[in-house]
Amino acid sequence: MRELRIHGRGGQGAVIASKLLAAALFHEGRWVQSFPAFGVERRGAPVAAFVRIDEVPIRLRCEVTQPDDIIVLDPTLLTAVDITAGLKPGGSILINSEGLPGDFPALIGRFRVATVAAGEIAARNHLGSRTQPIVNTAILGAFAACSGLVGLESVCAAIEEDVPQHAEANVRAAREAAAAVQVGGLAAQEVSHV
Amino acid sequence: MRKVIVGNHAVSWGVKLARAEVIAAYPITPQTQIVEELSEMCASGELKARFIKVESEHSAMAACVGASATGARAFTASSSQGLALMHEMLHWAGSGRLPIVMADVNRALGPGWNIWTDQTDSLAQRDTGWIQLYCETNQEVLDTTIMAFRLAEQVDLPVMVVLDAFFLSHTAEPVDIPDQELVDRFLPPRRARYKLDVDDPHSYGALVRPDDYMEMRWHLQDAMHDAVARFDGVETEWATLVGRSYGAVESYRTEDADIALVTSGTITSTARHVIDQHRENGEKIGLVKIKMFRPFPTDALRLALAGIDRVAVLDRNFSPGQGGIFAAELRSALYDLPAEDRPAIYGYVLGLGGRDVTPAVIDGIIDHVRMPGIPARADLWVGVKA
Amino acid sequence: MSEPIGTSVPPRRPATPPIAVSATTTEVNKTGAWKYIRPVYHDRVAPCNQGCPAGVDVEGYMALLREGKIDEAAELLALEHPMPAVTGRVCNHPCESGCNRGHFDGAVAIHAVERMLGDRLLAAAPPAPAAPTRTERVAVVGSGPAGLACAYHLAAMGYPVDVLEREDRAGGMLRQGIPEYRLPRDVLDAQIRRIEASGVTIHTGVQVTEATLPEIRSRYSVIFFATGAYLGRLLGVEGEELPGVWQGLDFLRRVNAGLRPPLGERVAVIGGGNTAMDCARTALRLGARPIVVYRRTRDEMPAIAEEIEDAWREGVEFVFLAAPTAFRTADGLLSGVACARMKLADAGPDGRRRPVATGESLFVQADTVLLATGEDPELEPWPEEVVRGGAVAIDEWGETASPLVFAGGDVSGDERTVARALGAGKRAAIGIDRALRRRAGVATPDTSALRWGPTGAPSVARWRDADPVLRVAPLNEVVPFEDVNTAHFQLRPRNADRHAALDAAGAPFAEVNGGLGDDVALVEAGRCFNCGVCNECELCLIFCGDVAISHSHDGGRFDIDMNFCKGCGVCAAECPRGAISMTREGL
Repeated sequence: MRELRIHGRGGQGAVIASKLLAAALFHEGRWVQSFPAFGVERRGAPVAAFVRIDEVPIRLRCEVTQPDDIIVLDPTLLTAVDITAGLKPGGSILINSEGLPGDFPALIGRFRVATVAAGEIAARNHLGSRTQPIVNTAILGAFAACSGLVGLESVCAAIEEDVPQHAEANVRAAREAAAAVQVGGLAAQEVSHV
Repeated sequence: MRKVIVGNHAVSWGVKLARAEVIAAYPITPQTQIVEELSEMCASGELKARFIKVESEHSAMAACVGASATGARAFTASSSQGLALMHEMLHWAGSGRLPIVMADVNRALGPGWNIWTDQTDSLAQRDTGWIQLYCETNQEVLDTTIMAFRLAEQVDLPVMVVLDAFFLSHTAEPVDIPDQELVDRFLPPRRARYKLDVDDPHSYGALVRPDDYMEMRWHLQDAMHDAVARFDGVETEWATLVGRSYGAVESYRTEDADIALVTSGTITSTARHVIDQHRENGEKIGLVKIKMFRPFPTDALRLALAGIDRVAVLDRNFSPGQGGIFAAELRSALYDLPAEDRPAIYGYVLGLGGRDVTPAVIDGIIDHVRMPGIPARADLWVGVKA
Repeated sequence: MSEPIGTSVPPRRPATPPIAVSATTTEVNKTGAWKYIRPVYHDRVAPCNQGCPAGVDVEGYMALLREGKIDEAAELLALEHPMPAVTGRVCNHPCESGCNRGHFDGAVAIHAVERMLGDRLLAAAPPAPAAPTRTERVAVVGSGPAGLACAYHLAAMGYPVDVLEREDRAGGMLRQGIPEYRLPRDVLDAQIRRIEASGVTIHTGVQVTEATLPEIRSRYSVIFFATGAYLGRLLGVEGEELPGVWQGLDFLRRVNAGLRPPLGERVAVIGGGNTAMDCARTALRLGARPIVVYRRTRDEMPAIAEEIEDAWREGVEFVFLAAPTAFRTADGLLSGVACARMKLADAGPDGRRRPVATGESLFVQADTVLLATGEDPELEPWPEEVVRGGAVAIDEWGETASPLVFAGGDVSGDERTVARALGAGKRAAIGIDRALRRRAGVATPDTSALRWGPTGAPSVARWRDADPVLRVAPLNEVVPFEDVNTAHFQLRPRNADRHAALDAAGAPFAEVNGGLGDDVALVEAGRCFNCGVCNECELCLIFCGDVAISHSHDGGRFDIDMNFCKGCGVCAAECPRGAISMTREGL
């Protein structure tokens, strides 16, 4: 079983990202479970969502405390919350950032780090506003490319099926982000395939 | 059709496929998504039901009582304090023998204010004449919702479909959504035994004197008794159509077991994972899941626990001054067995107010229950901080 | 002694039913036997209907509008009323003063709904003239509202009617006295054309004098005099004859005829009625600076409240508690009005507080004075026996002491409003028909049931037996506010008329009040409580706990099955409009 945690801020679409990722993986024949951090949060506050992935039906119905992968929708969260909490050694972190993996020396070496300028890509595709772009679909495209865990086409199909507005622009953003993701960390070529 | 949906929407889909005719509800976290989705289904016309907006849960149940009394198929949903506010009207549905179906998303009662899962809200309504069915997965939620209407209308009793807050209500997972045509074959339109009819007017709910009241209550008890067997029949029919059934009581890997966990709701799921690990180590340990709490499936439980030495009951609920409610009910159900056939029952109160029940917590309970020489005493509270 | 404990588990199914349900249908329980009072549907009278001096079925057309029947509503209005497009603009609408909704969230703006319907009638094709079925010819002298109303209703009854008007245009005070900014002349002309189309012939330029009267009497069976009141009253104070002191009505007639008399800068208008407001606002439109001088206060002014409001808003000045004592000159020209400063004492016989002098005085500068303190009728060519107290005396149905000579409107000393004049014309039409039918030896209907409420004006449709509205067990009493169940109504404030600002540079005489517009007027009609008249809202049927009320199968609205009505009264209590009353059983 693989467990994943998505960090975002209230309103950025972290929960929807977790659902889209679960749907994409389900299309590929996996068993999935996705859920938000249980509680109540206001817009802008740090939030989290989770995805469990397995080849057999998932029985665990408790919180995710030791994820294998982390996705960070907002780079300012790196200083606000401990995004690596419980992350397994050698786990992966995908960050929405205009920087390169090498710009995160505290993470690199311990984890596999990837970056993608998802904000810029989302804004270019008119998703959300220029100051507050909605990056959840773009970053899923990048995740497909850098993790190898899910196919880009499955991600795009899930977006087309479940995103009610601007599905086309969201798919375009996912594809652009998949092409733009930068992988670094333990060893760039060591991209795992489950 | 298979979709990745949250538990709340599994309820909504079940209600839609059951072709509910009247829906009345008042929003409360974490139940809101159920009726939100249903209201959209009604607005778009895909569900031809009357959606009644009301000013409280008490009114929601009152509206369902009125609708059901006219012969309509009625549904509502609530949680926690909302369910508590319904209490008086729950009796009107139960003793009025109205086959209303309600989803209760288990949420702790305040104060302290808490929106997380805890079964005390539904268990506090156990004496209102409602059948109660607890669910473990979103698939079970959808299937149970549809089966609930069938069962309710067979025995003229209301049914509460119970699901855990967040662990089901807000968790998305794959669910097989059956075709409407298939559900229609399983669940024909309701044919009410009694209904308000201006062409054949009868009075309902009038004064009943001491010389008749007791007989009516006996009818209620008889219907509850009947419901145990009827539920098996309903499940069998459903299984023929979709290949899935759950059982009022389910035994999991209890063959040759010395120790059994007794669980309900989503703790069951995590416990199965733990049992599997212990079985891999060759330990003789199994699990009994209680899906049906009212009527209490005494006979099935006696059968399921026959030959077990020690039983650990995991209660995400409690009755102040008594203890875990499932443990107390189980002790009562097994008390008159011969001493040599009666397992020792250990109660564990845990996970209240949504506290996480992880595999490690369950491992700790297993370690405790198999310690030699521990007395079967008052319930143990798991993980209470010093 | 013990008794056996009976059935043990599992028992037989007891014979008692599983729920508290009656063994037989409730129909065997004749709950009707319990009652000592019973509900009765009665159509009663809405206060607007009683309040309307012209006897219009206001509630009736509101009910039709509620059902979306706009054309039927307009026809019902036209049945009782020859000129709704006019009164929708200029009436003082006493119907609204009585409106029960006034005690809730503001009276229904009835005038605006009437105006919408009136304009709709004018826009529609004119009605086919009524074919004359009577041989008796009627002469109507004067083409103001009283004369036209009488002629209109008589024509509808089949009488050939000639209206004789001394001026060269019909309309009487509507044309002579009311300024164009309140009543556009195209509306007035169209309204008169519609009356003519209904079968009334108008002859203008015909003056009836003492000399010509005998000849007219020989040609017509009946004469109705509606010659109005055109003689402005004098104050009886020093300087009233000075040049520059004019009768306000003469001033209005000249302006309405297209003249623009020079006023100077400051114009003092003496009086507080509608003529005073018309004079002041007309003077304002001619570029003068008008000051209204009134001996009481704003609260006692008899003018229509909206007219006072409009005058105020347009910039007319007011001097209250000032009674003219003399008009003064300086250098041979009028210089102003000397006034005594007044204060209000106790109420006089008319209920208004009397002004009494304080002993102080004040002086209002004026280049022109317009007197607007009331008008009196010309009494020529009336014989002495029909005149009493400076006006023509008539009976309830408009007949004077001289047989088959009728009179009504301002000439007979009524309160001088358009609505009163319309009512007087209608009463005379009924009176004339009644008198002529009696002469012909034909039985006439009872007139006691014609009034809208104990003090209201009569319905001519009822007199003609032409009322299209279903009336169930009608009671001629007015519904008080206490009988309206406001729990069934939501607060929806009255819609305000659209008012144009005074445009002195452009078209100063353009219509000021734009009404509500068709859509809003329909919304406004939806505010009507339909006091006292069942509109089949079904609340009685819904609330009846015995299911004893059902829709009627024999042309009524609802039937009550007295076998099951137990006289609880919930239907009467819930009826939003007081159309159900409880009466003693067996009485």
